Amino acid sequence: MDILHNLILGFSTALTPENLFYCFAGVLLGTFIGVLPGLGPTATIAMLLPITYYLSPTASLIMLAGIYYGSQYGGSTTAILMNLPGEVSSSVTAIDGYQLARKGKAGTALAIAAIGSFIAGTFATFVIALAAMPLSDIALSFGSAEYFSLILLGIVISTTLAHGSMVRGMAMILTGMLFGLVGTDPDTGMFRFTFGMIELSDGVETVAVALGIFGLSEILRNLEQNASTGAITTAKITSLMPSREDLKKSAGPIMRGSVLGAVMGVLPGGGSILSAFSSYALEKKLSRHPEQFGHGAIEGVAAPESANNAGAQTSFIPMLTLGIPPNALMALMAGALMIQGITPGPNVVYQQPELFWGLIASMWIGNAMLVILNLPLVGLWVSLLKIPYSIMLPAIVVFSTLGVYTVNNSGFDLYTLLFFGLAGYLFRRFDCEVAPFLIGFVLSGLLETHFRRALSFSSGNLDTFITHPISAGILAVAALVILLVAMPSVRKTREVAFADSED
Amino acid sequence: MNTNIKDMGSGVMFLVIGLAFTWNAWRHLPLTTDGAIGPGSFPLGISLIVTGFGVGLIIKAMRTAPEGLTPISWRGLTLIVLSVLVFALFIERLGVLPALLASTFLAAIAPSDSNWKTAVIVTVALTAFCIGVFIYALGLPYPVIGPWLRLT
Repeated sequence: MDILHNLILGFSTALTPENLFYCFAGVLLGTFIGVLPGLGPTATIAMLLPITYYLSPTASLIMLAGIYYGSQYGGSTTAILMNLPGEVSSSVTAIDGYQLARKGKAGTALAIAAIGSFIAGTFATFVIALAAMPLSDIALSFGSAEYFSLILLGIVISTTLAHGSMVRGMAMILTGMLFGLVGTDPDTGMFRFTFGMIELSDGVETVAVALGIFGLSEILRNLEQNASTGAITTAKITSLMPSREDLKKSAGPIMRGSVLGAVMGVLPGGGSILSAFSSYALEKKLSRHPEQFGHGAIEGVAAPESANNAGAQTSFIPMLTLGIPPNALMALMAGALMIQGITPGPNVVYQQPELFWGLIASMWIGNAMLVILNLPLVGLWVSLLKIPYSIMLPAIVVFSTLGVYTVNNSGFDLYTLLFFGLAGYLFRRFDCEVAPFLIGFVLSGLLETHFRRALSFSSGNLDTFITHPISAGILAVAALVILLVAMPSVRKTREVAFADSED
Repeated sequence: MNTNIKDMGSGVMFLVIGLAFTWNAWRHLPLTTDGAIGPGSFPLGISLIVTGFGVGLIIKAMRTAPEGLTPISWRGLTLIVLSVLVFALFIERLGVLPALLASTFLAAIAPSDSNWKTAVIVTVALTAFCIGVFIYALGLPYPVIGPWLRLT
């Protein structure tokens, strides 16, 4: 009854004209910036932070949240149509979504992405409403040893994602981790790997890395071939709506993606990115035809798109209930609350029930708005495919360049963009997938923090990771995954699965 | 010599990156601080593994069949690099308008089959769009015409 009462309070808050307006403004802007590569939700929210001072706390949080999950819808659009993930979390969608677009099923992929996102969004809304408290209790009981093992598991799972050689995938993750460690050491304040450049003291800008290694390198790769035969222009649209068969194939992945995403979203460092990658890996493992993954499997769009939307929403749980922002974006949300004089933490639910439940109700309303906003407009997005590559190419370059610049107003970030664009281009030439690089880059700081913290609690004793039962259990699963993949029979299957993946 | 270029290339890249980080960590970062694990241990461990992967791939390269690489489009590569560089150099000094015009045009003529007429049209249209969206709609605080081009 309590939950019913709370939900009524939430909907009555979210349905006021003011909050409805800011919810709509948020999801519209979110979709828009999601489509624009480079200008991510983090940068947009950072830019809008000063403005939220003039709004009510509830309205500002509703709008900022709308930008975040709205961008998950928009980000998938560019991932599918241009192989250019508008957001990092959409980079998995690009793998199969883009192949579907090349096969003329761009409309299907977009529709499945929107449907999956909506179902996952609805599911995540209820998860937050029902389980915010119990889930945060579990997360609270996790120590650094458990977190370390959990992040390690995520990394292990994502290596099985890498095309071709596992060695290359592993090496790429670790290389990404090295670049992720650049900056100021959080424990000692020492500069690490800044190579004499003061601009690197805050670390390498994630947006510049992501756009360089995905966007720019892809453009350079495309220029190798005759640009007029660029894949983007050749895709033909035959059907806009998914067939019954596609819907049937997607139902399972959407359900599992929603659940997995909702769980992953709660974990610090998880959020939408890890959700998307893990659910893709899961579907590929469960699939009876894993060889289709990477060549336009609809499941490869349905699962990560559902998962990243669920993860985006449930990542609010640790920020709102524990006061621990699980990622940079949630740190900005916490900042928005503090501007209003509200300290994020367990007290928010008790002292600001309208805000907490209003935000949750607005997420469901916002998701409904996004389907209406996106599905009828799929045709509009599809029309982007008719634009020739000679127009797309400069547009992608300019949006990326301008987008990277807007994050910190820093010319240095543009050199970072170039560096990682060229590095990504070379890696691609040598058959190294770039997706694992970004995973390593994003996760390394957190992995190291928990590694060091766990060891400082155990006075340097490495046993700590196996004497904690939950940590030991997670590590056992990770070891099992490694064993499975290393097994000759599985290895052979995997090689066959990837055999014709090279163009 | 029978060398697989793809294995050799990736091996060399991992080796170079691994060694650069290993050297830097070894030179500058303590492995322990006050008995606790220091800022150097974790990265050193990873950089050593990356170096190892690099060595492994280089050895593998000499044992596997050679593979060809697609030729690099030097025209495209140069123009794209220039496009980003020019933007970085222009934006603060000359302003958003000249930066966008120059950078878009360089990117527009990057494909080998591009023609000047389309490139000019695309440049003008994209520049107008970017200024409309980023400067007027999103309100980014960059001068359209920068300090170097102002008469006063």
